[in-house]
Amino acid sequence: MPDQRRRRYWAYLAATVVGTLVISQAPLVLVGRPIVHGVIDPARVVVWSIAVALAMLWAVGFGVLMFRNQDEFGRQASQVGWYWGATLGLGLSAPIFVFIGLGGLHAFWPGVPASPELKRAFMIGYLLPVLMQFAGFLIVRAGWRWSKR
Amino acid sequence: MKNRLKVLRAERDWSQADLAQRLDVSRQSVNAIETGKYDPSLPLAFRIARLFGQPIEAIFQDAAERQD
Repeated sequence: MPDQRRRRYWAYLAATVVGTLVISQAPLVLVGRPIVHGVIDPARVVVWSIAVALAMLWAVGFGVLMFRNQDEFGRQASQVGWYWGATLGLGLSAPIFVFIGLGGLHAFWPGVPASPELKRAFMIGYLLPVLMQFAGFLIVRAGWRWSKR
Repeated sequence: MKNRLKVLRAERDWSQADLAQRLDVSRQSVNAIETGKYDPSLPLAFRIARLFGQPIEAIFQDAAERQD
């Protein structure tokens, strides 16, 4: 990788990490923690959510710059890694999801709490990124095909 | 896909890093192309052809074509 490209890569990476951390943690300074004395503050939850959304925008923006900064070999490596690596990771997570979802942790280690609420929270927590990732995949693939008409 | 990149590079006494610099790609890209593990895109193939002053088909050869 030519030196200039390498320097840009590290600059983008540093900007991504630092910027994302600063933006996502800014509410700590601006409004404080979202839970005060065990009570959830709705306004603060909204502020924290917006901050994370902005942080993700920042991260994605620099992610695009990092991707475009690579040569075509590097881009293809990234695409293969994200496509097949993410697919492999999802595949591996499925049996773990079923094991935990069916109460496997509690069955083997009774000290681990189990309740219908916990089960529901776990299922939502697992399915949200999986479904969003799949939706993102379908949208980007359709958009790519549409742009090549 | 077979290619003559290594030969052409050696004729000019360039290292893989030299060629990578001239093509504005990584040294790993040059190595992968030379060993036939990665086929360059058409734009990069044209850049390579222009750099060596030869037509693309004089540098890159399709495996099926070689059997004919």
